[in-house]
Amino acid sequence: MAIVEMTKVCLLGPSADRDAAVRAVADAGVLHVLERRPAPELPTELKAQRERVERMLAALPPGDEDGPWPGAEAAAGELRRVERLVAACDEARATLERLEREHARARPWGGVEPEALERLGEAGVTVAVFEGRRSQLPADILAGFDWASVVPRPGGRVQLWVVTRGEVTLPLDRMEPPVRSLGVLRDDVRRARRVLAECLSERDEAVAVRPVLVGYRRWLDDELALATTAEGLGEGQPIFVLEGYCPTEGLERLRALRAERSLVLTTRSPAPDEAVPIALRNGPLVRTFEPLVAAFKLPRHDEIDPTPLVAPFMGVFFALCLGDLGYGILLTALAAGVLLRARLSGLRTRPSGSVRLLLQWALLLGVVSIAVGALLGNLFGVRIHELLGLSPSALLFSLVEDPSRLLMVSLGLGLVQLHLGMGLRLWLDLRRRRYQAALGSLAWLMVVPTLVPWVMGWWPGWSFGLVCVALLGFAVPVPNPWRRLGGGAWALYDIVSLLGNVASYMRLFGLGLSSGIIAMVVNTIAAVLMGGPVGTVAAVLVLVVGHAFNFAMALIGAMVHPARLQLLEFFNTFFAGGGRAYAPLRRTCQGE
Amino acid sequence: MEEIFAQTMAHLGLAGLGLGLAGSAIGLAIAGSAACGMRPEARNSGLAVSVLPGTQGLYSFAVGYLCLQPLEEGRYATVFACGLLTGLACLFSGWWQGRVCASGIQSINAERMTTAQAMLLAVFPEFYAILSLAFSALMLFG
Repeated sequence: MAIVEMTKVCLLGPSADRDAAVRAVADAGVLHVLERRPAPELPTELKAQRERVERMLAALPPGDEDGPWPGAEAAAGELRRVERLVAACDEARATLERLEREHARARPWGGVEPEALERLGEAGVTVAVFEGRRSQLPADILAGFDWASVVPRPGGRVQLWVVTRGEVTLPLDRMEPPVRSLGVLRDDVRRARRVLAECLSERDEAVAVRPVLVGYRRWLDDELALATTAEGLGEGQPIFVLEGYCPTEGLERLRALRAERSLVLTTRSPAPDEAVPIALRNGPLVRTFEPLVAAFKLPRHDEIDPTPLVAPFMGVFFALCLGDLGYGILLTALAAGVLLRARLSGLRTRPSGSVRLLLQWALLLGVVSIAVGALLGNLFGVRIHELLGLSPSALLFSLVEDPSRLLMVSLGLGLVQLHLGMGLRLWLDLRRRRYQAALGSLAWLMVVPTLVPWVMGWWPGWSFGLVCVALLGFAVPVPNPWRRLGGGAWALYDIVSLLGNVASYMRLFGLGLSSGIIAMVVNTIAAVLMGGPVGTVAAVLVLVVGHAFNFAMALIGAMVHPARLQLLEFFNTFFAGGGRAYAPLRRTCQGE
Repeated sequence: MEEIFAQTMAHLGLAGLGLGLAGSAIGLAIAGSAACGMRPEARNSGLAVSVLPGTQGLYSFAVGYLCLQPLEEGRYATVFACGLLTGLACLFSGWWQGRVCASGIQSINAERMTTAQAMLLAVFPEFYAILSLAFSALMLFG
C-alpha cells in the first residue's frame, strides 16, 4: 500500500575516482548500498576518534545537543580541550581519594605527631595501636606492657594503646602509624576538595561544547560510513562497482551524478525474491504508527504495508482500554501541552525525533480516547449521562449499566480485524497468482461465518463441512499429498486457535471495564472521606493520587495489549514481514 | 439457614477472586525481577513483556464487578462458581505467565529472541485466563 517503490541500481566508474564518487553518492543521499560480505573493517583511526568522543560525551553532564557545527578541525580542538578538563578532574579525584584514605588511617592516632613516634622508636620505645573485638582481648592483657589502655569503640570493638620497650605482637589488627600529622592531612584533604570542585565546575561549564561533540560524532559516523563503503570497492581493478537500491523517484539524482562524474549507471526492477530495503510512506496521522510496525517487522517488498490498517484499530483499542473520557482529555492536554511548549520555546527545549513522534502519537490516541470515552459514558469515573440528565440508552454503551455491550463490541472488533486480515491474505494470494493457496485463504475466511450459524442452529452444517474439506485440501498447498493432508489436518485443529484469537479481544473489555470501575471506586472513597476541612483535603488527595495512579496503569495496559493484538493476532492472519529498513548512504552532518 | 449458607458460599466465591489478583502480583514480580537484570540498551524491549501478567488481576476485578448485580439478585451459586473459576484460572495463569515472560526477557537480553516472539509465547498461559473471563461473563450475563 504505502511501500516506496525501489529500483536496483549499479554504478560503475574508474577506480581512481572511487572516493570522490562515494562522497557524491552520499551527498545525493538516496542509494541504499548493498552490504558486502565479509564486511570491511572500520578505519582504525576514525574508530578510535569516535570512541574518544563517546567517552567525553559520557563524562560531560547532560545538556542541549543541538547547535551550530563549527567544522571537524575546530571540533577536534574542542574534543582535546574537554579531554584535558576531564583528565584534570580524574586526577583531582584520585588525589582526594588517596588523601582521604591516608586521613582515615591517621585518625585513630589522634594528635600524635609522626616525629614524636620516630624519636620514641629511636629510644627503643614502641607505641602501637591495635583494634579488634572485645572478646579477642586476653584477660591479663594490660599486665604485659609498660603502659596500656583499652578504649571502647562502637559495635563491641575496642582500641588497645600500648607503650612498651621492644616489639609487640598481638592477635589484633595493628593500626599503621601516621606518616603525616592529622592536622596537615586535614588541610590537604580540604585543599584537594577545593581543587576537585574547581575542576568539576570548569568541566560542567564545558557542557556548552556538547552540541559540537555531538556534531563531531555525526561527522565521524559519516566519514566511517563513507570509508567503509569505499573500502574494497574495485580493489586492484581498473573500475569500481557500487550496487544498491534507490527509490524510483530518486533516480534523477543518480542520473545527474552520472552526468557530472562520468559514471555508468544501470537500473532494473528488483526480482520478487530479492531482499529489497523497505521505506514506508504514509500520511501524517498514519506515520506516527510506523515505529510500532517497525518494532515488530517491516513488510517485505512483495507484501503490503500494514500501518494504515493498524492505525485505526490501534486508536480504537487504545481508547477502549483507557475507558474514560477524562483520561482521554488528560492525555491530549499533556501531549499537546508539551508539544506546544516545545514549539513556543524554540530550539532549546525541542524534544528529540523519537520523543516528538511519541508525543504526536499520544496526542492522536488521546483525541480518539476522547471520542470513544464519550461513548463509554465515563468522565473520571462519573457517569456522563447523570451529569447531562440523559438516560443511559442515549449513550452507545454505558460501562456501568450495560457492560455486556462492551464485551460484544470487543469481540465484534476482533472478528472484523481478523477477517480483514484473512481477506487481505486472500487478496495477496490472488495477486501473486497462487490460486490453490487462495482457496485455503478463502476457507479460513469462511470458518466463522459458517461455524457460528451452524452452532446457533440458523444454518445447516454442510457449509461448515465444505469449509473443513477446503481447509484439509488447500490450507498447505504443497505437491506432496501427505504433507498437504497433514497440513490440512493441522489447519482443522487450528480452528480452535482462530476462536482463541477472537476471544483474545476480550482483553479490551477486561481492561476498559477495570479502568472505568477503578475510577469510580476512587470517587466513592473520596465521597466517603468528604466532610470538614481535613476530610475535604483527604478526599482531594485521594482523587488526585487515585486517578493519577489509575491513569498511569491504564495507559501502560492500553499501550501494550492493543499493540499485542495488532502484532500477534492480526498480523498472524496475513503478514509475514522480515524486510530490512531502507538506510541510504547519506551525510547527517553538513560541512567539512 | 439455607439462604445464609448460599450467601456465604457466594461471598467465598467473590473472595476467591483475590487469588486472581495474587496471580498477577506474583507474575509481575517474577517478570519484573527478570527485567531488572537486563542490559540498559535492551531494557525497553523487556518492559513491554514484563507488564503482560498484569491483566489477570484486571480480569478478576472485572468479574468481581460483574458479580455485584447477580449477588443482589440472589444468584449465589453463579457468583460462587464465577469467583472460584476466574480466581483459580487467573492465579495460575498470571503466575506461570510471569515465568514465561521472565524466560522471554532473559532470551531478549541474550539476543536469542525478539520481543514479539517472547510476547507470543506469553500469550498461551493468558489464553486460559481469558477463557475463564469469557465463561464467567457468559454465566453472569446469562
